[in-house]
Amino acid sequence: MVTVLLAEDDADIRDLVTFKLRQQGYEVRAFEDGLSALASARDEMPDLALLDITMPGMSGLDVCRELRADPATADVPIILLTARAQESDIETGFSVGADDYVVKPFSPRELVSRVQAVLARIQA
Amino acid sequence: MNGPPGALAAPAQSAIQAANVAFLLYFLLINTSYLVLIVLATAEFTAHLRSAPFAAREERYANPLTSAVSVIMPAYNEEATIVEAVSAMTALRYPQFEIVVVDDGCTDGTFERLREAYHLIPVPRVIPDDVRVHGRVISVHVPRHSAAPLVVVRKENGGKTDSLNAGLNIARHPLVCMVDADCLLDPDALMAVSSPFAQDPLRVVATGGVIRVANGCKVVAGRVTDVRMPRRLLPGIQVVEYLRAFLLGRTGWSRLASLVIISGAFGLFRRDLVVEAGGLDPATMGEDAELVVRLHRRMRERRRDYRIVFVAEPVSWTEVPAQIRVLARQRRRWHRGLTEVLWLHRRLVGNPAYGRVGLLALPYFVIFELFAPIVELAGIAFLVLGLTAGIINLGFAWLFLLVAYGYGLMLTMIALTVEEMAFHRYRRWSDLGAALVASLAENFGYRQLTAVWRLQGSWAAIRRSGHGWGVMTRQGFTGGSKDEGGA
Amino acid sequence: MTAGTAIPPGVIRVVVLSLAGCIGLLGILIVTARVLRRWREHRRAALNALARTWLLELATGDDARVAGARSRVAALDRRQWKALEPTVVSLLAKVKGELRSSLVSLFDERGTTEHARHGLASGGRFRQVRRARAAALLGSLGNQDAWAPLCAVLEDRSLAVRIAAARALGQIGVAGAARPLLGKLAGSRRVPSDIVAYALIQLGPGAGRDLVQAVSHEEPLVRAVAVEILGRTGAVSAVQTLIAALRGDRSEEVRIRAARAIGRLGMLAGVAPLLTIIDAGESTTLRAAAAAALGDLGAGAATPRLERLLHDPAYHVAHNAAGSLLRLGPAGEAALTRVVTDGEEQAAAHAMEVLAIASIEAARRPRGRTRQAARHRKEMHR
Repeated sequence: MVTVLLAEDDADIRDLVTFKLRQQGYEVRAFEDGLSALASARDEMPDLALLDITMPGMSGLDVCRELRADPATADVPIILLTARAQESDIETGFSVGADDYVVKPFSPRELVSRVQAVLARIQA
Repeated sequence: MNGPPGALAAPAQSAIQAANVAFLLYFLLINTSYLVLIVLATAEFTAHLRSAPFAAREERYANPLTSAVSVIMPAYNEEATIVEAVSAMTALRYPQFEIVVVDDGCTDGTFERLREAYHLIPVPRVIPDDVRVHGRVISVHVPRHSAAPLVVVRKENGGKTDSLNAGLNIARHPLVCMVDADCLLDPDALMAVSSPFAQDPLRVVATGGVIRVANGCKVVAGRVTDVRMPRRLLPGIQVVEYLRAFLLGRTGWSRLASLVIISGAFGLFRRDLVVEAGGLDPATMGEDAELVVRLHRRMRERRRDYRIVFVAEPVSWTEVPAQIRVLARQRRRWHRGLTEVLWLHRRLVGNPAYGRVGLLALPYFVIFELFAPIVELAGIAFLVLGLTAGIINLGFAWLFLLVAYGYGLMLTMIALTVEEMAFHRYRRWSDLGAALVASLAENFGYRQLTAVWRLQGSWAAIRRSGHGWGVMTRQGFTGGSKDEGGA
Repeated sequence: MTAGTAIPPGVIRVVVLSLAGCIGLLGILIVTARVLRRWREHRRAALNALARTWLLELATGDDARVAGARSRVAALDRRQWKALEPTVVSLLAKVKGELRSSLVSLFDERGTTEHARHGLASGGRFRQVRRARAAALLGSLGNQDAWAPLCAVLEDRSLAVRIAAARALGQIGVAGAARPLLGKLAGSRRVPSDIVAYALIQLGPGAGRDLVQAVSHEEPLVRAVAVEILGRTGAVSAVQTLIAALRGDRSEEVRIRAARAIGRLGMLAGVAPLLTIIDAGESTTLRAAAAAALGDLGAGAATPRLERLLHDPAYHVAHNAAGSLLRLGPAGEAALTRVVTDGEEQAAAHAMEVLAIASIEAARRPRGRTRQAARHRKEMHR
């Protein structure tokens, strides 16, 4: 089963994304802050990480750079969730090693297709 | 009362008695002034918290009025931490910014570490001489592959202030943010501290962010991820002190439009105005406070409508001294800086031409900050003298202690209450207990000791002023700010 | 002894007791505040969790389940819905597509829109949170009819309500809101500029005429914001207004912003006025802004002038001229290369700098997202 690691502090979105991904047959490990998501990734490597950029404490960008810095987790595909119209987030996101991004507000369907696309690209 | 005349002559007796009454009044006034500042701060927080849910923070990122920021980060021999510190800085959330690291003639591997991590390559930069710099710039480097917004400047050693000035010249963006290399910022720190500029773009000239104590907190990847009270008493007392004096005190001053101190550990300025003012003054120890007073002065002299604002949202965390020796050095340095700044700008004190800054803020700083340590110590001395000579009775002594320390304790409790209601960053019950213990313990020894150190700081400033103000101090990093933290 | 130091014990007792009382009260206050907040957080989380399970059904995209969820929400009584509403409102701002439309229709079915408009009209200091929430809800729903009452609420005495109304007006996007929004940058009951500016951008080009008029407002902040927004959303017709502001505004800040806006609009009519500013004895900041604007504008005709500006004694003018030349494309780049070999020392240095940085950036440019990430990964391993 394909495991997706999710870090999102907003409970509404966290539940929504978890629900939608599970519906598509993914296993989802969801966390409300960057730190526990990072710990979980180090514990057991996920197939993909979906990180919200805006989280207090460790942001998604921070988790991303930590995952990339550790050889064990450096190859995890990473998708960032960012709020609308923030090109800077996307730029910073790529500079710390993200693979793709999804802009909020998003439709749940769009999110799922992005996850599928990134997984397909990595396997190819 | 039944006080025997004793060995002292009558005039001496009445002088001691008058002094005791005067000291009592002083403490009553100083504590009441704190109370006023806390009330003002509370009003500010209330208004802010009420509108915060409706002012979507995310939209600030898409806002045309959000100006680009150059973060200037001076570094001196920080090889152990520099890569993590820079990496945390480059991952800040902000629409457009650059990190300017100034290597102030480091003698260790600071630059090498950065070069390895970022594959730095030299670029031929033309550097303006907008502000005067003593240590020559040797080279400028940028990352070869990574798009991280990073510029590393190598220069000859010249001290922290000189590094900040060199960074000012290199900085490309309209706003400059000065940070200490060992400061831990929240991911949204730049956004928070720059928002007054976006809210009132034509008037805001500088903002300062609140500094909180990192000791005891859990830190991962250069971010504070879990806020806790330090386990040891000395840093614990400083947490309470920072809450009262910086968080609430400075918010109060900001509300009065008379903020004269912005911490060098996290302040944001309009670059053009700082350049116009000649940059930071390497001849003073409190270069951050001096710059703010100078900005006030120039704005007032030009009759410009301007604002200098304090941002209370928790943004920046610093490790405070956990050893008495280091704390002593820090407080001496702070008070020496304050003394120098007030002396340098003495013409403003009480001068109606400088508005509230001249009539309110600076006189307040002279009376209740500059002179506070001497009054605190003399107050105790005279109290003991008066008691032993039988000039004052025990009742008066009690009243004195109640006004000086009991009232002070109550103020600290108010500060803790406001923190709990407005920010509630400390979530554990044990943290609350530790804060209460620290508030109480502060009055036994800590206050008196800091008074001694502050007095020593003033004394150092007075002695030095005899040699004139023009002398360059090659102070800065080696002067000891490194392990002291800043605020 | 004199009265000054003779304190009767009664006074001390009163002082001690009142101080101790205050300190004790504050302690109780802290504990109560904490307990209350925890309790409220807990309750809200429980409510939200319940609400979310229903709302998630809406996200399944499965018709039968969506219909079931909708009927269950419709059956809620007023009190239950009131507790649920904040969750639905906040979710509304976070999603788009089908899920959003089903959420919006939930509100319509319950008649909440009407309710919010009543809330907007509720008076008094103590109802400010209600008014602000109502304004935010109408904005989130994108309710076009609400624009007039929202404009009225811009005058509210509470800052929170004014902010919520200004944002809502931006979300609704009725161009008629431009003038009242601009008015909130001056006077006594203001709205922070960033909120107003963002709302104005959302109104789009339809607000152009009001923005042009605002460029002659007496308050510099109004002019500055209007100029800034015109540079982003403004139609071509705004160019003449911006040129006039560049030439003759009383505030230097407004002129600098006008220069930037002209550059961003990219109209050739802006070239001559920008060059005039650079030649005239204006401040360095303004001249530098004009030099940068020429690059944004992309006027190839300005190449020779920009090339000469590389020799300008003012650092920021010369530097921005170099950057502008680079942005002008091949002709500008050729000019820069020429100056590197033949130019005077200072001009050559400026040219060399921008060319060097451009070549680093070109080498860095990603050819594909994944490839860049892969390279980054490799780098970090080294």
